[in-house]
Amino acid sequence: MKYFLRKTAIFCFILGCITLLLMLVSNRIIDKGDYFKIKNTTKYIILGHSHAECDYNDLIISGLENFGQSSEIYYYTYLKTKKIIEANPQVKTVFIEFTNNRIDKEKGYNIWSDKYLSLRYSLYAPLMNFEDVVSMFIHNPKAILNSQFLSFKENLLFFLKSDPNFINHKRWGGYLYLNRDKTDSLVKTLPKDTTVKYVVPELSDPNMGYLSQTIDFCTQHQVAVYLIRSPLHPRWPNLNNEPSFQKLLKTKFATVEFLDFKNFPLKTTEYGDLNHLNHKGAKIYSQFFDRLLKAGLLSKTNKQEFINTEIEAVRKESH
Amino acid sequence: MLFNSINFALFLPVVFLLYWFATKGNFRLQNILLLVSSYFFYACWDWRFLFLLIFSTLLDYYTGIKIHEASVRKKKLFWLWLSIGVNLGFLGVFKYYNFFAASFADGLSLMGIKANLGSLQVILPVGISFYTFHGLSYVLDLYKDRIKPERNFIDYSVFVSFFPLLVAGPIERATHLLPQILKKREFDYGKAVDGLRQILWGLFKKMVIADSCAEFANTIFNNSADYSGTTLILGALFFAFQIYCDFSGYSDIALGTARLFGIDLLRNFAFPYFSRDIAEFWRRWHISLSSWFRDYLYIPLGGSKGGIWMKIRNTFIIFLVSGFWHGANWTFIIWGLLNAIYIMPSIIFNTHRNNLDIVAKGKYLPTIKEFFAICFTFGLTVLAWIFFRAKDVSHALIYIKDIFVGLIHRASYSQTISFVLDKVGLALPLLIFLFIIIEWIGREQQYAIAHIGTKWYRPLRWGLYYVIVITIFLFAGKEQQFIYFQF
Repeated sequence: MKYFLRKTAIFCFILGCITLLLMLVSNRIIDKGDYFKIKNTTKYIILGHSHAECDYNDLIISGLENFGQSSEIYYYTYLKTKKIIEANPQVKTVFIEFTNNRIDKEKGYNIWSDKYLSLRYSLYAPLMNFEDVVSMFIHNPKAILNSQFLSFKENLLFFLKSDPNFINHKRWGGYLYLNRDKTDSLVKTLPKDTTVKYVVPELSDPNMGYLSQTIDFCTQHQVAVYLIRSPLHPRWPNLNNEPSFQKLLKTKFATVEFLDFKNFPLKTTEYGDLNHLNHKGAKIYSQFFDRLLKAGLLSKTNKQEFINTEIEAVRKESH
Repeated sequence: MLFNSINFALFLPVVFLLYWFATKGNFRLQNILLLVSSYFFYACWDWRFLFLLIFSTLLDYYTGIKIHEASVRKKKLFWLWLSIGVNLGFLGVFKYYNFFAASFADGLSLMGIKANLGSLQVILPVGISFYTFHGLSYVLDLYKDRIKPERNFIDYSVFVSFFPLLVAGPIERATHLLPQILKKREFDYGKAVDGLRQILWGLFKKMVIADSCAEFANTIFNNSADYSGTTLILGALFFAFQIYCDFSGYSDIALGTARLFGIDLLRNFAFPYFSRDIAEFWRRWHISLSSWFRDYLYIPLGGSKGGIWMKIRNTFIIFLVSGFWHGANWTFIIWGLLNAIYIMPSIIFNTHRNNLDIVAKGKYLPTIKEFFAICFTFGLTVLAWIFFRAKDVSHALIYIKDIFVGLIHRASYSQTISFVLDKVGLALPLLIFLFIIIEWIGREQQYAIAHIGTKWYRPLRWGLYYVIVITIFLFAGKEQQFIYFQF
């Protein structure tokens, strides 16, 4: 029995060492390799969750590349921003999607959920440092163990396919052509009373912390960083935390400029649902955003006033 | 708790260590530990159904004693039918009620009568078909005086609920498993190592072959209207490998796990895809179920003793019941019926026991005749699997029709080639090919890698195991449910 246990332990120990070694080596090769280059013409990048992913068609907006990814929390935005900026000095501006549903505590907990870790960890593992992994292991050891294998698999497939670029194949997000149009039916399910009852949400400290770190990193590297809120349907229920959202902007993120496109006029049929634009809405909004960038939005002293004026002009035009 | 999950990877070593160290070789304590562990294992799915399992165990335990104690045949029959009735009643309610209600309503609607018998919104308790059959075999064996009743409830419960076989078999017999539970188990190094090797091979089959094939089989079956005939054949082939590797992989893990505890379970698969005729296939596929039906249904119905017509009738009954056992859907019934039709020529011409040994025993390769016989049998099996996998009968029929229609179009072949090159890639076909080679090499053993490398120099042998483990890691992704858990 003891002989069996000893042999099994030795077998497992060697297996652990081989796996760990292969993982560490493959992560290191990817991290230190030249695998994170994006187009030379890209000056702006946009990051964030599904709002960024669905709303910014980077085929329309010149000089912009979209790295938004559904359900993304700011920890991965931070890792991604760091790597892209380090590898691509031509990127001078970073837009980070910041919307009402990002501040809730629930989003922070998602960082360590089984589903979230298995989805994301393997895509970003080569970028993580030891402390990050330990912190995740403390919060959810089972998911981290599972994700190690996925990460190893992802790395090995990357090498086997001889991919020139780790960012390829939308591994780190990209514009999503949303073909959905269910806003009308969603609106019908909402209460008829349109008065917004504001709530004070419990904030997600880890998520907000990583957003701050991303901003600090950009600032330290002389890259302009903006928080941005994309168009939202006026009846989106998550707008009920607006006072807290505004308070957060004025306190924790007071040093960073906020560009608010929430009121950009769109028809219901141009929304995929209450908070995502479908491809029709994304086209209209991306053309508008592109025009604003070309009109020197980022060099204006009062950017929000400029945005509001332009939005108003579009509104009048559409009437 | 799935066998291919981290939870099980933690659960198994803990139970193993407690079993061999904390119980100090006392088999009574070992049985208590096995029972608690098995109930914990089962409760991880849904603790509420644990009560159903315990009730079923209690019922068969009690009726078993009563059958044995009854002095007259009438009383014995009463207790036997009570047990059969209640067991099948549970199975009927949980598994078949909705099917019968819908079929009855459909039948009435053909006569112009509208009926709504309602449906039950219940989930199927995992493993119910398996543990019900365990219990039934026990009471039937008691009725036939093949065994004595087990009076220790814990020991009997371990027979019904032993966790490696609890949710998807093998369907054990009291004559085989109970004596092992009732005696002292000593740790056997060779047996334990063999068990680990069998678990490893089972995991490889499930996580590498079955789960990878599942992805493409699902894509093709779920969107069959979009694919050409030859791609549909590819889908059916993927499913054939998926179901074999899924279920035989599960059985390998179950058998290997049991061996770690010093218990041998019944063999469930013996390389069925190398069969030369359908009768041989059914002696090699899901052996514990086939032999259950043979012993408790086919033989009591008269078996093959009553002339050719009785043989034909009994064979059809066995296959129809076997199809129905798999699930409450006409697709399973037709799958059973199709297999009965396949086997019929060998029953009529009395050739069904022609191929008892494994093909090409002691040789490297089969003869040309054997090779074509294997391919033909495999082809028939794949055709039947289409009914097993399809969502309904019309889906299966359209799928088969599209296969034959698509075969004559050249474009069909190019779509299949691009499907393989663009979506499947070359890794999976290569792995399947390698898998078939390994299975062929090991076909005379209990499982394919039972003897492969056992006499090699240790670093080489361990190297082989590391390659298998790392391949499993590479293919591990989602913890996929085993197909037979739904039955």
